[in-house]
Amino acid sequence: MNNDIQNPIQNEEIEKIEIDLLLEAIYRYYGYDFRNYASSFIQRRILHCVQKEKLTSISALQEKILRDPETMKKLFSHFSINVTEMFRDPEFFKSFRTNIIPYVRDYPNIRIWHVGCSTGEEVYSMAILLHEEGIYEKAKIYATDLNAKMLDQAKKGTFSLSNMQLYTKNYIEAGGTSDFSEYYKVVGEKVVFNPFLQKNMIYAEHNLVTDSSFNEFDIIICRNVLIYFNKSLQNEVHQLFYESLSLGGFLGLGKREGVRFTSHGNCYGEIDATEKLYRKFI
Amino acid sequence: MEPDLPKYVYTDKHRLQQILNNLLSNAFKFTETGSISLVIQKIMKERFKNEMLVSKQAEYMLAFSVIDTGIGIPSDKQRAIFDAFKQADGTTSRKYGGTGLGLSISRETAYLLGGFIELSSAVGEGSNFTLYLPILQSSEKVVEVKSYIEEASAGLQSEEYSLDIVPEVEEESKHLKKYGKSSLKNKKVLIVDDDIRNVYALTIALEKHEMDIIVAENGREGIEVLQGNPDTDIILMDIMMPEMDGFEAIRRIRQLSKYKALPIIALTAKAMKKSREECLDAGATDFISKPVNIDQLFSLMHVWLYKKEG
Repeated sequence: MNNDIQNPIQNEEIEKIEIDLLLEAIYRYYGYDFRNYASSFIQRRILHCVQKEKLTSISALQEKILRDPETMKKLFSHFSINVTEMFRDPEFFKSFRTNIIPYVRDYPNIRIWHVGCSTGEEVYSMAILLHEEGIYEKAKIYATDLNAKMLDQAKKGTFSLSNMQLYTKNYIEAGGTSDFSEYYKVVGEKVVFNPFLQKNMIYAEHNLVTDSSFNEFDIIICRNVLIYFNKSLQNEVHQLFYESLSLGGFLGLGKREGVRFTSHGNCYGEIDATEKLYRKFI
Repeated sequence: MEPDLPKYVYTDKHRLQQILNNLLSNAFKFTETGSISLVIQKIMKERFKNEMLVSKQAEYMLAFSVIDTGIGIPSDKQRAIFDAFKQADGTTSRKYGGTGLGLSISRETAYLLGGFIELSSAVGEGSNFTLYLPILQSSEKVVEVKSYIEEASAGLQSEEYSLDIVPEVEEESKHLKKYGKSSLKNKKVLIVDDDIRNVYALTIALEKHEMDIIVAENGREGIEVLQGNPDTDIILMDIMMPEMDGFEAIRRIRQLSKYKALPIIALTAKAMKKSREECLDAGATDFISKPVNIDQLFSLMHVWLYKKEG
């Protein structure tokens, strides 16, 4: 069949099937679930990616994505899911330092859950922050993601040199008290962070949609994960967080997220409304 | 160039260039009318009274004379311009009419190469700075040039300079062997620091990466040197300096639009949180604490000299 004589409605239907199959493939292979995303947004982004890759169909993109993780990364950025940054949104970390640390400083130990940690940039940021506050020794950071490949990457503590200028700026803006360069060593195009930072990190696979609570935490950080979920899924996750937080525990969310209009909005007090830092008080 | 010059000379090209650049730029700086010439001659060793200074292995010396018709230097200041850096505390608190730039470093460097610098000058007539280097003919002697440098850096360590340079440098060269040539090669770094020991230690370390090094001993000179070297890739700026401190220098550099994005690394005292904030306000790109850990500095420079392809 020739494209020219296919009618537009047929085309549209094929495209819809292709998108569904692509999202299914991404979910099954990479573990990212975009299946419940707003469809017009997803469609636009995917077609843009097809064009950029100089391909002729979404099916061709699917083949490429399954065989080449780099293409997946590119599609990721087309979905504008920033893979993550060290000290991303520096004001968040600054606020955490000034508003949360004083509460937890004297705890005998501090349990932190980093949900959806991806390649670990924010986990290392937290370790640096705690180290500078002199409390990393008694902290444990449980960092989880649903994607084992991301966790493997995070465990290495090795990041690309290309982002380090941004990370340094973020670190300084986040109120870092040392030289950022004290924590890393450049080896070729890679930056290796000091292994002492990994000492109290525990990485584990965890699926927010299907797995349950696995510990009680003093602090839960889950930034820029919930925005990709629909309302009912968001509420389920908030239930999970609520169950996993100790009374008086802290919850940190992403810039465009919040607890206010969720099922558990009444259980939290605001520590910093702009930086989305909350404290569980019932 | 005189006709009887040897075709090849074994020496350290970068250091030789550094000295000649320094002598020539000083000559241009202080000569408004007349001429500046560079004369290269071969000279018999016996001509020198000051045997102590001359390399024992060489029979001939090569003389590079930079002759200007500038303002000249009064005889009572002729020692002082070389000694600008040589005060007891290792810092220089005065400037000698602006001539101090790099001369003491050039003299030290000449010594490392087995040679020395001589000056003859008369006020109103001009100056003649001559760099004498031994003509070393066999590759064996090349090693000796190197060993001068190593001796010198060993000296640095034994005198407890703030930069603990020697083991770090060794580690760096191991690193180089392991990971190949570094991307720092041929990058131009401006060191602005009034402490000769720091300048010296940094210079030795950075040259291992074949970086192009220019120096200034206070903020005002730093700006001057930068203006003369607009292709500078990165600045290492000390904060506490005479005449113009690092804060002020960074502020002024940032006012010049073409240096808005130039990485300026402030060398700060560790405990001084306030000065770090001031650096940041002034426009510093990043900090490194003194005493500088060389490995850390290299990593930091890799970060700030990184350029995305294309």
